[in-house]
Amino acid sequence: MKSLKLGGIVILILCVFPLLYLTVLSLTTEWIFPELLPRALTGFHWNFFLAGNQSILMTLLNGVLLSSLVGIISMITGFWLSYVISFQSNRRSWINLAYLPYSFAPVIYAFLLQFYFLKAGISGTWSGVFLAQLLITVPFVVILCAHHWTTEMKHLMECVYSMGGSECYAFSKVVLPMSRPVLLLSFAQSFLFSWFDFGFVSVIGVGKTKTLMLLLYQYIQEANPYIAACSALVIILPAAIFLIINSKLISRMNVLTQD
Amino acid sequence: MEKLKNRLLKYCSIFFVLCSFLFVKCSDQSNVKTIQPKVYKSWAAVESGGKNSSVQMMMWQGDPLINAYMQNFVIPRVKELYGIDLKINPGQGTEIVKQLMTEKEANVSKSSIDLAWINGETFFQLKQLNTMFGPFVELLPNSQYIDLDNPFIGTDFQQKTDGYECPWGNVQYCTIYDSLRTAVPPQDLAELSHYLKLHPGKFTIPYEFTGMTMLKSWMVALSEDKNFLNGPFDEDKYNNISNKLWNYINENKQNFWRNGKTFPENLSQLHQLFINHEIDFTMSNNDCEVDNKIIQKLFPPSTRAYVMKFGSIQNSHYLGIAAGSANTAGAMMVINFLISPEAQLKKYNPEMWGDGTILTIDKLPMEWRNQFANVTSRKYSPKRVKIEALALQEPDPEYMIRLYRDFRTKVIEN
Amino acid sequence: MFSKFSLYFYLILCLFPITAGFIYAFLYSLGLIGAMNTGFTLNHWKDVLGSKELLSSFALTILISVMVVLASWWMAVTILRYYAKELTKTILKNGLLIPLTLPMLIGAFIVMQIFRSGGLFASLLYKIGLISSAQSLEWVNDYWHIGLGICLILFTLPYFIILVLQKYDKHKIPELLEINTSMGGTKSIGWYRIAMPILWIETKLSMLLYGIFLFGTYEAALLLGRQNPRLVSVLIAQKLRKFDLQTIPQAYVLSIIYTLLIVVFIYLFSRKSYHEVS
Repeated sequence: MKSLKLGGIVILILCVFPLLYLTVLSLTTEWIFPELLPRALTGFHWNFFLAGNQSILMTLLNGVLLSSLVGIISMITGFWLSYVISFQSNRRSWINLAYLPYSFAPVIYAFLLQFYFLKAGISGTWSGVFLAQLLITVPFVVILCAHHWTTEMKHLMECVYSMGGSECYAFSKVVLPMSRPVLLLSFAQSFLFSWFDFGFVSVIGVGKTKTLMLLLYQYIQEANPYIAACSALVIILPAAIFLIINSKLISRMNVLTQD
Repeated sequence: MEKLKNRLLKYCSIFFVLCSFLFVKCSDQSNVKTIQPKVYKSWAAVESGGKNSSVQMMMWQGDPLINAYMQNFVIPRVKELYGIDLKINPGQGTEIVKQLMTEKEANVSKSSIDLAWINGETFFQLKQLNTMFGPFVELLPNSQYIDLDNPFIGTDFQQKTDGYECPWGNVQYCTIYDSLRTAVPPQDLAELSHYLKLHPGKFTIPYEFTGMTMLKSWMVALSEDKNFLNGPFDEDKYNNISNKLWNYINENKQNFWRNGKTFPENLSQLHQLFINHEIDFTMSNNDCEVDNKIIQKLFPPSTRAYVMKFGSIQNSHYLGIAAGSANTAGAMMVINFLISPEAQLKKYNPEMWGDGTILTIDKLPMEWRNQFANVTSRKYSPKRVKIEALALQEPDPEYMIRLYRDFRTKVIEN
Repeated sequence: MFSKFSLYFYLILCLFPITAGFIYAFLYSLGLIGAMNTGFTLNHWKDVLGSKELLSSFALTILISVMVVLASWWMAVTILRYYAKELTKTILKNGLLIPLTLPMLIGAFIVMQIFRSGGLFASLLYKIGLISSAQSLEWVNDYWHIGLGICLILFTLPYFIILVLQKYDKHKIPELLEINTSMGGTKSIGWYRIAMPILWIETKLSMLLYGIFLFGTYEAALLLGRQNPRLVSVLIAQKLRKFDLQTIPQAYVLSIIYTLLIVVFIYLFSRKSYHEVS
């Protein structure tokens, strides 16, 4: 922190401030204009919040499982698809197709797909939510990985082929190690999308697939601000910890590949 | 590139044709499976079908007190008494309607919802869609304690419930104020106008259900007839009285919060303005809200609630069963428990929820009557006996639809 | 063979859900399907296309999305210019990730709490003596969408900072700027003639994607935006979820218009980028 210039410190404070603000808001009972600081800190609202939400731990685990699976499958599928696309002559057109799932207003996309999920008999199920989320995350990973397949990468693979290596060998010994940062990034982005998803979980899942965002969404929208702050922290903190760990892994990978 | 385009066009056309065929088939109403609700001849038959089963309930989960009541009391209790695994899923009003509507469009025979917490507008929409199971209320043993002839209980938005939804709780709209800031709150619209002139910017109308409920009582006030809005929707009545309403609002708008240029979209926003002293009044459809919010340390202890002298809307909220429910028996057993004296008493306590009971106390066995009489009294909210005489019936749903529409065009966009 | 299968799978994945959704919305908007349908009608289309709010809603949403993206990009690039070395430090890198963990709803909630009249920022200004009452600060649900703009920029900016920093390192811009200096160019010229064009070209597609994301923003628009005109996503959601079932087809009409606009925009933008690259 000492080595940061003033500007850097300001940026850091701005980044961390939302979390700090939510924490203080969740621990106060009275913080009104024109007071800059709350009058007193208390765990009162946390007690209230937890009394009505005893299944938080199970919901958290369910959410982690769902998001992790979405992250892993999206990462693998999206990465493979971006690889296949990179060898097409009209590569750019193929990549542009990945933008199509984002052309629908998010508030309505889940409602439009709900009919089909009901017909297929997977509405209100864990697998229905899982599939629905993949519809968004896989194309996103394709976009993320699209620029990873540079000429350099292709030349390296050709080198492997010319020395008698198979495609499988090139992938496992060359491509995957070099792609770890982008793979981790893809996993992280897909995980976060699933973690914060409310639309698919509430509409396609009919609220049966319990995630933290589903459980606490209504609190944030409609309950008092102190309870809303408690809910927000419960949702954000696991994601923040995950993202920081992920980022450390990516940095470590970058250092290793540079070495 | 051309090859890709042609391929895309080809696949899209095939898919379009398939989908259109699928939809045409679906939209043919003669193909729609009419759901035949299971007929139960006795409560014993219901119990044998519903015990040790799983019930999916959809309800609003935006209040920690209500959630605690359901999670910590209802769920364990129905498990203990009947072996029923009650699972609660978040969703309210329009979400419930959309889900059941789409299930009907998709010809789904088994609904993902068994039981739902609904109110008048939802009941109105579900009835239009014909997606409610019933009639079932008379079959519930505890319904003997409910006076379904009471117009505030047996009628929902001017529609007879006819046993298709079971009353769960009863509330009356109240205006909330801080007694330290407002010594004498206005008692009618004229006094409110005067108050606004003296204290500009201290009042607003939320553009949501509670705000529109308030406007309905204002229409009654302007008509000077308590029963003015009773009965089916009347276009001429509405046009006549709503003109007076919009005139009143637009004349006083410049003294509203933010000069009436914007209105809060939900009640929690309104409550927050109230807590921050930006406005002097908030509101609630629940006459016990003040006790709840003081217990939650959201409102200061000086907060009070009242009903203006022209009255306010009293209505009940209900529980309905989806026509496609695979476990109507289990749903009925849960509802029967929720309207039991035990569950109603627990809910009646202001420290738990404070929701008014739909049970007629005089019909209850003596032990329960005594318990209801001894329940912790409301400390800050008005006693029901004091505001009961000012209760107005909930008008036809079409009034609500029009108010939502016209508030936007005649007030917000004006 | 497997590659061919993968390509077909990819086509299905990208095209079929969106086409299926589009068809559903289209048929619904024409009254051909739906539990409340009464047969073919163009009334829903007429109601929407004839409404005053349609054009203003779309125009406002486009304007806000474009302004937020451009403002965030400019701020990110400016921060990079002066604090490039600082941004490589781990503490700051990790710090920038924290706003990315906020879902839009929570971010909008925080901005609403801080910037509403009577919020934390108003208290600060009051203490400094810049305002005399809570009502003096109206940055939420205001005419200029200041609160909404702040919220969207606070979301967009950290992402753009990370993005431009990545491109800055990838294209060895510091080295290029050194070359510029050694050849007699000023720092300003180096930045505006070398660094910024590279960063602009490299981040254009990401900006487009983010702009599309902002175009569909709902929770922030609902909590912080004006009521008249409403942003597109709020308009659609309110027609979908209001009391009156008859407005549901209108929501689908709006979503079709929304989709067509986005698809056209993606097509035009990607064609331009393709030609630029060529």
